Amino acid sequence: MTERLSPARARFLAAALATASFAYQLLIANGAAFFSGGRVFWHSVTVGVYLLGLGLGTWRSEKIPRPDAATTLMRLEMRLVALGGAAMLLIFAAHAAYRVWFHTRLLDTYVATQPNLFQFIDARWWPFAAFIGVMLAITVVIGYWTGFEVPMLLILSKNHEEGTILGLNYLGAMAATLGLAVFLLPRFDLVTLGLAVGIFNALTLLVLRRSWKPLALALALALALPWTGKLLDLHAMVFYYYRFASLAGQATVSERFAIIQQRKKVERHRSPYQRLDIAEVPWPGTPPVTTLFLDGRFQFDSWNERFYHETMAHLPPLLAGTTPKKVLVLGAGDGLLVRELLKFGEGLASIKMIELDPKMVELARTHPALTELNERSLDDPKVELVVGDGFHFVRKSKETFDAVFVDFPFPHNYDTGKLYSREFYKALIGRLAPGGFAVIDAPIFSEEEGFPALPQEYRDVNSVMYSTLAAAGFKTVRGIAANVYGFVMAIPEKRELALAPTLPPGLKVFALKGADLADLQHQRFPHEVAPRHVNSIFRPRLLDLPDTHY
Amino acid sequence: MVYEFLMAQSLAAAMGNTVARYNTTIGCYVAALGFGALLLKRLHAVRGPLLLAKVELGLAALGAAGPIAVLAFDSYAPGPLAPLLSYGWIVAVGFLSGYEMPLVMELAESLKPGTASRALAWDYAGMIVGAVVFPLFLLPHAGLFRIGFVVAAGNALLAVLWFLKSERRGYAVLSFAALVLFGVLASLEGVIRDPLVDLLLMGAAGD
Repeated sequence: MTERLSPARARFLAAALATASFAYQLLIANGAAFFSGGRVFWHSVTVGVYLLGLGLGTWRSEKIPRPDAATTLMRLEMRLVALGGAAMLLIFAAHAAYRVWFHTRLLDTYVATQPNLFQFIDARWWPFAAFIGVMLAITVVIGYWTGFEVPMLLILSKNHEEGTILGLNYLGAMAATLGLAVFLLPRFDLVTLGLAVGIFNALTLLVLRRSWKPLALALALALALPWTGKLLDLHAMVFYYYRFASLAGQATVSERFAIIQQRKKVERHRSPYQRLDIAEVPWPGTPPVTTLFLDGRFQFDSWNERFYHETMAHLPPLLAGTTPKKVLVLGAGDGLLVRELLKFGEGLASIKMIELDPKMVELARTHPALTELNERSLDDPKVELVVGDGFHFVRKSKETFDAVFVDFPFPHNYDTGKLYSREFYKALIGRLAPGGFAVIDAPIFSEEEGFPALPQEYRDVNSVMYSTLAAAGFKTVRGIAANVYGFVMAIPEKRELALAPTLPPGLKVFALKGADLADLQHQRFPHEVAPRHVNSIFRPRLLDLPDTHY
Repeated sequence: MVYEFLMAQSLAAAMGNTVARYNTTIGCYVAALGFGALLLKRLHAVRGPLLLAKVELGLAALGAAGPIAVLAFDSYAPGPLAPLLSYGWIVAVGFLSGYEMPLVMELAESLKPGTASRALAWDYAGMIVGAVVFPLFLLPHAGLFRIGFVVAAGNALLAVLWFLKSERRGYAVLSFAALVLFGVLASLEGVIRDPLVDLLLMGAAGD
């Protein structure tokens, strides 16, 4: 006789187990995004591997004799609690260990966005492949065990309960998605959340069977909770400080850990939009450099930012021969670009700034390291700050501006890709007053005289930027490279821009030199303008390249 | 899953990339999915292949038109009505999608007992296509509306076959007409995409 659960118990388990399982999967997908800087490729691979496991588990569940359903479900759930609960802990520990042990041949998802077979034959890739292998193996096993849940519950519930069990399963998935995105991810780290989900999952098992075993597992996971902070601090330091190869030559692994731990702790802030890390990055021969990372991606450091922001703010008006009166800034919540724009002086009437993340603004206004850099630019009376979505603003607003400065995160996934689309740029033209210009921080790459030709994948990125701007209706597009960074100046009308202007005498800049302006005439941005390169929201082109800074 | 992604992409273009928008979209869709599955039995005493065919036809129409409708609502519907209509559309697609799996599992179970979970396994295989193949390989090469039309044409084709089998001529002709329409729209997508987007997205900007 097949064991049956009361309808209430079966329904509770259908919802609760789905909540836990979906949460495991979401946490792992978030982890993949964490290590890869939010790239679509690794996120999709993780989700795909999980679903593969889920399908295999469900397939395999047919072989379970009906009378064994409750026992099987209990056994697999116990394993799921142990592995799922500890998964993020294991993955973060494995990632830190991999980076310390193999730091001389360090490769990471930053480089490995489009891996191919030849790279894996190269021995340098093995440690990386091993780490990814561990992560994906954990993912597929969690999926496989989860795959048994619905079939076993269908056997344990009354006959013909498919709709109810599946419906509650979907509602559990919704609870996990919303609960994590709205309440938990902005407040807690992935490792703590993994352990908490495991504990929750263990407690729900008491509804299935009265047993001390789930309680013991929950206790074991709870005992790991106090250590998560230490592990994550260590991981963050390894993550940021080992990227710079500045610790090479340290003989033993324990010495490497010791040296890492002498550094300043990475400061971590969270918002619903992103993870904001402020690190003091060691470089050989200089004092540590204050650096901001958003979702693990480099934003700026106190050493280089002046050159970049000075170039971005002051060069376009010099090239156009006009100083803008009314300025719109999209993004750039750190206040560094605004600091430079305020140097336009008397001619400048107002700066309107649209920033999505209130946390970024809060840090820019209150964090000592940031206020020192941005000179409290956001509190200037000329600056009007709006917390909101830049795309929505340019589309819905009727205001026009003499200059628009666009400083968004780079388009590595479809969400940020929308901010580099034909549709966005078309709306942007609507916000430009006659004679106005747009300046866009964008992935473009210059080819300098006397250096090797630009590789094809970099040319393709240039082509996407130039083609998309042309398709939106910009008739003048000029690439500008400042150090290794690039940006684009775009004007709706056809206009001749100065080739290499000179710095006006009164301008207070620190990093930008006259010689840099003279260099402009040697910069080329090889590209091709064609419809197939156009990035549209409705046919996206991803610009997925390794970070150019390192 | 593909319909859901297409509408989410459109909605983000229309309403902006806020966390609230993202969460409400997913929340509405998955909740509707759940209620669809839960209420299927209460609302339909007679189920089986005919109901499934009708669901497929409805999904084809709502799914293919979804991304366009969401953009149109945002630009042309008066004020507070726009989000209501958009989310209503998402809920409708979610609700109908929620019917699918219980119906298919019941059908599988009635044809050959003990195969319901096999149907579920195939559902996960389909989700791999939706979650992996679609964003990585399909989306960069085919337009968003085209993908919607092709998937809808697939839904309509299934509906044609089922209606023919259950000898519902009228429905079969309707589904065939939908199949032809989606086929034509899919092949024209490259030409109509940009003007359509401009009309929908920029047409009534600034209201």
